Amino acid sequence: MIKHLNNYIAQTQSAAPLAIFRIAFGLLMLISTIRFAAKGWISKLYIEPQFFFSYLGFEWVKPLGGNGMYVIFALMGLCCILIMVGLFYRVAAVSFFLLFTYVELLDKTYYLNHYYFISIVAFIIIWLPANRYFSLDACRNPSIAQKQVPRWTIDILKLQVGLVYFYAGLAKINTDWLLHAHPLKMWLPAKNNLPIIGELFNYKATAYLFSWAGALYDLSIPFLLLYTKYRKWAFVAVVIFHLLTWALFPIGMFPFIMIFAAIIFFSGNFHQNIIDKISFRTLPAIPQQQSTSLFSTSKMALTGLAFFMLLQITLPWRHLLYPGNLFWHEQGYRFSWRVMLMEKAGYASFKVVDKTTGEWRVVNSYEYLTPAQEKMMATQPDMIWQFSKFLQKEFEKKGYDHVEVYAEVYATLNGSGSKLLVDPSVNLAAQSYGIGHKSWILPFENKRL
Amino acid sequence: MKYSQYIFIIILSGILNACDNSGGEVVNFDRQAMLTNYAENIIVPGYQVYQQEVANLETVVNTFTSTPDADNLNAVREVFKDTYLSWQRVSFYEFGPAMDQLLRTSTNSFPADFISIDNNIASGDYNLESLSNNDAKGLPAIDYLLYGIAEGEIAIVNEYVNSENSRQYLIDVIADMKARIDAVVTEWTSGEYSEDFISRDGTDVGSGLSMLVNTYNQHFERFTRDAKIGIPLGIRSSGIPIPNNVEALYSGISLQLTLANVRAIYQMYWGQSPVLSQDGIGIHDYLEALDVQFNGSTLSEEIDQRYSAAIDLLETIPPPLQTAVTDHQTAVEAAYNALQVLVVLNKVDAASAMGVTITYADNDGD
Repeated sequence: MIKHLNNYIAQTQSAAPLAIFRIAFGLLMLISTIRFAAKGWISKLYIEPQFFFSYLGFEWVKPLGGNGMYVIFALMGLCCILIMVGLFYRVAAVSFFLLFTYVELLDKTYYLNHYYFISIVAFIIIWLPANRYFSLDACRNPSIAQKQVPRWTIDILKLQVGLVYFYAGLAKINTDWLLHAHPLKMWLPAKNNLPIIGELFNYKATAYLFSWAGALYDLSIPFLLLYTKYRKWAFVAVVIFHLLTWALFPIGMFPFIMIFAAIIFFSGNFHQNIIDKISFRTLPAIPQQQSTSLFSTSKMALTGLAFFMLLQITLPWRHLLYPGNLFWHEQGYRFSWRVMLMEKAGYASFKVVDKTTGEWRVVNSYEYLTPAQEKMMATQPDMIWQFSKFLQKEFEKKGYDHVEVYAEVYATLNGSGSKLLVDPSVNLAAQSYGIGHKSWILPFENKRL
Repeated sequence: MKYSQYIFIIILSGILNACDNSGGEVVNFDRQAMLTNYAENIIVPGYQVYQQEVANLETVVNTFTSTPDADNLNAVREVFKDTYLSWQRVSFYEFGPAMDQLLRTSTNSFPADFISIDNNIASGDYNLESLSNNDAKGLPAIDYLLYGIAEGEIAIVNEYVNSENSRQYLIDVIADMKARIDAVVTEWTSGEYSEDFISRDGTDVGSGLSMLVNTYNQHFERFTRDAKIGIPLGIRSSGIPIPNNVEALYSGISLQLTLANVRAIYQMYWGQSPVLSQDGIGIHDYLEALDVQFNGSTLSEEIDQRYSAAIDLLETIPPPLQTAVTDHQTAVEAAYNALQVLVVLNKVDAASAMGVTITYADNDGD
């Protein structure tokens, strides 16, 4: 076993796929960062709100005041450029990972699976020799230049991309998706104004077809991409699938990130051809001298990465530890590649009571939250609890003595009709929040009051 | 036919049957036709009626300010009530031209800030364009100027006989309202806004339907439920009523206004024109076409009933609202709760079923 493992770690492969991946990742992240800034989201998401929904255990991560957030994004853009051209690669990769993850940790309102994917990939590439070939670092410092890299450094990326698809596919194996074609049955007719294909979306059969095809696609694509025989066709499917989702849903850069990520599955020669084509105009692909020593990673770092990947494989299963309907209580929903799985909407209003004086007040979330925060909070119990704790502090500041907070929240899941999501008789301010099951979340099966 | 063919046909008809029972195979709905109905038969005519009322108000105010007497005051008051009622039919379309003109905040920020109004009149030096004067102008200010500026009809008439500044203030407030609604109507009719609105027939952020649904929901929640009823009832003050926070405090027509507003939103939901007595395609029809189920019935049916129920409950409150919030608290509370149910059904169930995102900002999802 150990021998096999050592053999595997010693195997080498062309460095070209890693170089192309580095360039594509840097470029796409640069476009993402510029797009984010151009849409005015830096201010709207991280400067204007009065309250931020932190992640459990990361409550200390706060946005910077003044122009701080703009500086963060400017630095992020700079890191993207450095990663792309492969200059000061390691520093740039570490910085990008920290900056990007910092921003993501600020507010879970904006949690997106593809942001999580970017954080993970950014972490992984810190450890990879992606600047050994076709990079300014290699030109600058020929002693690190290498045409061969350990095979695992490419396989780890394939594994991560494969995990995203496979788990996204597994998540689709549920009755709502397969037997009722939810939520596509609700989403597709809303898109019937699209040119050419729009007319199809009026038919329920289309929703069923898309649901089944989507599930099969997600489950099979990582394996099809692995085999030379199917790879070309699998990639065509990747492009069609993601362009379709891009046309149908407001998912930003995600489709393009996944299309480019899938290129990593192609052979060294394929990537070498790309490099030959672009290096003709830009910089020499291969520095004159080549280092004789191969890239090697410390045992500790390797073990660490292995554990990290193991964590990635385990994390999506943690929802099994919670009773009830996962889509409804959402305990263990994030970080599990559950993408476009449900149509959920909610409405929350709160009653803040001073137990000592009997004073009370109805608080509507629009008084404190941005529309985006309001919308996300109204369907996610952990955010409802966080907002209740925030209200408790706010009203303590206002002179309330013993603050109690009650939430009246209605949500609908895949057209179920609005029902109470949390127990309106429970004082949420008195609840603690951990990773355990929250008994104040009402079961999905509850009747409408 | 062969045995297997029989089986195949039986299975196939079974499947088709099951599909039929689950509510039709095809969604047959023309969103563009719905938007056309909203723009041409509902929103624009609604604005035009309000525009006409404001013009009428200007005329009678001109007569009153040149000859301030009791008859002329009453003429102004009559037109004022009609104007306020016609405003209730368009107050919830706060997007596009209305948003550019800050139509709602300029026209109906209440309660009126009578101290600012008095100060503005006393100094004769004010800029109604300034945001700080939002609650010193518009319909709530006129309500104060016509009913509350002095005690009793004679004193009010005398105020205008004696004070050039008061006469001018009334004229200026109406001029501000007129300029804004004129601009909005022009933008919808001669500008390209109508066409633009109809052409954006998707459901994404920025589409006609999304703007309509988002703004009426926001209005219903913040202004119909909270500002008109909830806050005077005391939902933000330990249940202790705040009668002075009602809309149209001085004329006492709050309940009429609230009813007009809820009825107008109900008509809008059905796609009925408020002026053309004509029934067109509306959100109700869209929900029916989508065949949205709700608790064993359909969502469209449920919403319909809840609107009627809310209107019935509002009708049982003895006017004026400022005394009802203390003397008939249970009745007002029942109406408030009925409005709350409608907020949930509209904002959660209907919006979700139509695929309209409740958000006023563009953002990515996944």
